[in-house]
Amino acid sequence: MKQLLVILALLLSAGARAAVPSAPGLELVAGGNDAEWTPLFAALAGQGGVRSTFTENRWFSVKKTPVVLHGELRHSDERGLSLHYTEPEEQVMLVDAKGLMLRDAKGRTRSMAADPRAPRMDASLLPVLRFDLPALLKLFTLRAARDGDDWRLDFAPRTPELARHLSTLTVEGSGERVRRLEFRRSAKQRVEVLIEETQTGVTFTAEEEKRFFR
Amino acid sequence: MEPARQKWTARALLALGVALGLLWLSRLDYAAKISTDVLDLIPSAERSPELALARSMASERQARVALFALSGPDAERRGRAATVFADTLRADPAFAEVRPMGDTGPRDALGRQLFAQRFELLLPGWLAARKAEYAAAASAAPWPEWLAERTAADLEAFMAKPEAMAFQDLVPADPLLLLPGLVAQMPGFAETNGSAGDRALIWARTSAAPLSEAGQGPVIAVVERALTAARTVEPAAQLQWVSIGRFAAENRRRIEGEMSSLNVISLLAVLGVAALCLRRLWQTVHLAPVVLGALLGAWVGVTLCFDRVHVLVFVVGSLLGGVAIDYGFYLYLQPAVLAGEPYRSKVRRLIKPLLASALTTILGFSLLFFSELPLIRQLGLFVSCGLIAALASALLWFGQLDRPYTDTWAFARARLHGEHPAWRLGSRLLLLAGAVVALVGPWRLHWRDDIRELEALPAAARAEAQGVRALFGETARRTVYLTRGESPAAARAALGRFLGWHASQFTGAPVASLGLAVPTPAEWAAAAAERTMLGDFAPTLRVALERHGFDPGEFGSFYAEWAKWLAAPAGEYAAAVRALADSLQGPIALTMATEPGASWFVTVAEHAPGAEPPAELATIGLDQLQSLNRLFSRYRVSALWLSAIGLSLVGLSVFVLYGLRRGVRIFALPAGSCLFAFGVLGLAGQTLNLFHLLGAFLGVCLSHNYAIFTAENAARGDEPPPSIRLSALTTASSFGVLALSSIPVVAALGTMVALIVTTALVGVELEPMARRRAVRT
Repeated sequence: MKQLLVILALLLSAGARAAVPSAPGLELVAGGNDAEWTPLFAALAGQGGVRSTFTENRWFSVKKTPVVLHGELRHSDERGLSLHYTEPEEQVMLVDAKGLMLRDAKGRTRSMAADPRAPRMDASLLPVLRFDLPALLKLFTLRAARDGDDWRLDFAPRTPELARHLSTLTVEGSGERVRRLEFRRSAKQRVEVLIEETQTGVTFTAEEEKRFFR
Repeated sequence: MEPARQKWTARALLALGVALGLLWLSRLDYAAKISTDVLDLIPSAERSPELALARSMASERQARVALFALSGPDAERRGRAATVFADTLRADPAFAEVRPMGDTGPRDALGRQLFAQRFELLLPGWLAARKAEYAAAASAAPWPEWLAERTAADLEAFMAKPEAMAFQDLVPADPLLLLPGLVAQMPGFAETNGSAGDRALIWARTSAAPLSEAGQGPVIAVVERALTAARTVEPAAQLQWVSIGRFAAENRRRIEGEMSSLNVISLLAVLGVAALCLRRLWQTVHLAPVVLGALLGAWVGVTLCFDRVHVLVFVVGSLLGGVAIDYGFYLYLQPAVLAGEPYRSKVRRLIKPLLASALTTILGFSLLFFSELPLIRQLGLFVSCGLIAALASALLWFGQLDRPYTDTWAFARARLHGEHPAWRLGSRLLLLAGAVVALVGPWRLHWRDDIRELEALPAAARAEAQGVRALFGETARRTVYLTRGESPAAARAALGRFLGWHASQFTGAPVASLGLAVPTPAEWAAAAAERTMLGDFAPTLRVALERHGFDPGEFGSFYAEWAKWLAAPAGEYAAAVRALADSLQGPIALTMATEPGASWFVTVAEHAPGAEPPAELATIGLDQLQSLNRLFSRYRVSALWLSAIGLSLVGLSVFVLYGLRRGVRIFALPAGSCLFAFGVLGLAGQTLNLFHLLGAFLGVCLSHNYAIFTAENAARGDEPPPSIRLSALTTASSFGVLALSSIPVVAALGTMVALIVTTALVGVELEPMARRRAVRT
C-alpha cells in the first residue's frame, strides 16, 4: 500500500510538472527579466514554415454551447497565417501584412485591409506567431510562466483599440511547440484553438501557396 | 471725298473702333469670362443626360477631391509626418475634409447609420428574399414559423464562419444578420488602406470648386505649407498629389504661357517674313495695325457673344494674325495702275477679290456656329469677327496713309518661267505626284479623339496623377458605374435593373454599391404591408433560436427594436434614403446622392471595362475619359458635316462670283491642297483628330484667298501677285509656330494649316509653269 502511495505521489508530481501553469506569470520587461525567455522565443521564431491541424472552440454570449471547427493551420513569416477550416464548412481565412482575406469553397474572396492603428483580434495573431519579443512588447504587456517544459504566455493589449477586440490572448505550449491559444473577451466570449499535429520547417508547395495564401 | 477728309475720316473711324473695343475689353472680368476647364468644352445642355450628370458630378463633388501620397524612408517618422501634414490641411479653411486613408471613421459612421436604420433600409430586401425562398420552397409551414426557423438555422451556420467573430457583439441585436448580409454582398466596399509601400495616403476634399481661383491658389499654398510642416518631422518626406484644381491651375499657367509666347513668336515670324521681303523694313509697321485690329475685333466679338470662352480659343485664335495679314499684303503690295491713282480707285479695283475671299471665308466659318461644341462655335465666331475686323482695319489704315503702297525686293517677285519643256515637265510631274498623294493618302487616315490632348500638362504630371490614383485603388481591372434617377426611388429601381443586366453580362464579377443598402421601392412597399403578418414572428423566433442552441434571453435588444418597428408608422422612402446619404463621410460620401432631379448610386465592379449598359438602364460607365473621347468623336463627325456644308457654300459662292469654269479652277487649289495634306498625313501613318479637321477647314479658307487673288491677276494676264507668296509664307510660319505647341491639338491645327498653305503656295507657283502658254511678265 505504501509502495502504491509512493507511485501515486510520483505520478501526481510528474503530472504536476507536466501541467501548463494555471495562472499568468510575471510581467516580462525588455532588458529586465526577459533573458530566460529569450531562448524559447528564439527557438519558436526560428521554426520556419509551420503546418498543423487544429480544433477551434468558439464561445459566444448568445450560444449555449461552443461552436466547434476543425482545420489546418499554415504559417510562415513571409506569407502570414492561413487557417483552412475543413469543418463544418470549407473556408480559408488568411491574415497577412495586407490585412484579412476570406475565401470560400467556391473561391470567392472578401478582404479587409490591415489597419495598423487598430489591429483586430485575428491580426494580432501575426506578431504572436512570429514570436518577435521586442515587437510583441510594443503591442502587449506580456506575462510569462513556466513549469518544466510547459509554459504559458499571457498577452494584454496596450492600446484601447486592440483591447476593444481582445481583452487577453493566452498562448500555451510545451518545449518548442505551441499547444493552445485562447482569445478571451469574457467567459462567454472566447475562442480556444487547440493545436494538434504540427510540422515545423515546412516549405510550402506552390499549390499550397496558391490555395492558402495570396 | 477729298483725300485729306478721307484720311481723317479713316483715322476717326479707326480710333473710334479701337477705343470702343478696348473699353469693352477693359470692363471684362477675365477670371469669370475665360475658362481653362476641359469640361467647359462640352455643351452645358449636352443631349445625353448621363454625360450631363457626369459633367455636373465632376464639377460639384468628385472634382473637389485631392489625393496625397506622402513618402519617407522611416515608417514611424513617416506616420507622424502624415499626421502633421493632415492636421495642417485640416486647420486651413481651404479644405473642408481631410482623412488619412486608413481612417476607419467613415466606415464606422456608415456602420452605425446602417445599424440604426437596419429595419428601415435592410429589412425590406431581406424579407423580399426570404419571401421568394418561401414561395419557391412551397412549404406547408405558416410564413412566420418558416421564417423563424430559417432565421435561426442561418444564424447557427453563420456562427461557424470566420466573420462571426467580427460580428459577435452585433448578433444579439441583429439575429436576422441584416448587416453581415449586406457586408457579404459588398466585398471590399469600405476597404481602407492607410499606406502603400513607403507612402502614407491621405484623402481630402477642398472647400471651393477646383476651377475657381479659391479652389486653386489657396489650396496649393496650404499643401506646400503642410509639406514644409511634415518635413520638420521627416526631412526626407516627398509628396505626390493629384487634384483637378492643381492640374487646372498648372494647365492654365501653361496655356497662358503658351498663349503669350505663341502670340509673340507668331507675330515675330509674320513680321520677320514681311521684313525680309519688303524693300523698306520700317514699312512692315503698317501691317501690324491690321493684325492687331483683327485680334481686337475677334476678342471683342467672342467675349460679346459668349458668357464663358475657353482659353484654347485665344491660343488657336492667335494665329488669326497669319490670316489677317493677307488683306494687308494684298492692299499694300498692289501698285497703282496709273500714277497718282487715288486710294478710293485702288480699293474699288481690289474690293471684289478682297470681299470675295473674306466673305466666303467668313461664310464657311459661320457654319461652325451651328456646331454642338462650344469651342468650335467660339472659334468660328472668333475667326469671322477677326476677318471682318482685319479687312476693315486694312481698308481704313491704308486709307489714311500718304503712300498706301510698298514694293518688295526682286527675289520676292522672281518667277521661274515655264517656257523650257523641262520646267513644264517637272512641274507637271510634281503636280501629278501631288494628285496621286491627294487621291490615295486620305484613304489611309485613322481618326481618334482624346480629350487629354486638349491639355498642356507634361507627361510627368500625367504620370504622377495616374500613379497617385493607382495608390488609391484606381485600377484598369475595376469598372465604376453610375446609375441615375430623378428621385432616390427611381435611381434605386434603375440600379436593380442594372445589377440584373450586369450579372448576366459579367457573370460572377463581384459588385459593390451602397445602393444595395437601400431597398427597392417595391421592397419598401411590400415590407410596409408585411408588418401585419409578422406579429407572431418574435415569439416564434424565440422558440426556433432555443431549438438551435441559442440563449433567447441574449436577444433582448433585438426584440425591443422589432416591437418598435412593428408599431411605428411606415416612413417616407426618400427621407430614409436621404438620412443615409447625409450621414456619409469621406470617400464613401461620393458613392450616392439623393438630390431631387439628380439622385444616383455608384457601383464598383471588379472587372475591366467591357460592354456598355443599354440606355434604358440609366447607367453609364464612369470612365469619364472614355465618355468624353466618345463625345469628341461624335462632335468630329458633326464638325465634318458642318465643314463639308461650309466648303460647299464657299465653292458655290465662288461659282456664283466667277462662273463655273473659273470657279472650278479657283476651288481646285484649296480642295487639292487640303486633300494633299490629308494624303501626306495618311501616308505618314498619322492619327488625326477633330482639330486636324478644323485646321483643314481653316487652311482651305486661307488657300482659297490665294486662289481668288491668283485668278484675279490671271484674268488680267498677270502673274500671281507677290502678296500671295508673302501671305502664304507668313501664314505657314505662324502656323508652323503652332505646330511646336506642347498642346497636342494646337500642334495638330498648326501642322494642318501650315501644310495646306504651303501646298497651296507650291500649287500657285507650279501652276503657271505647268501651263503650256507662258504668262506675260
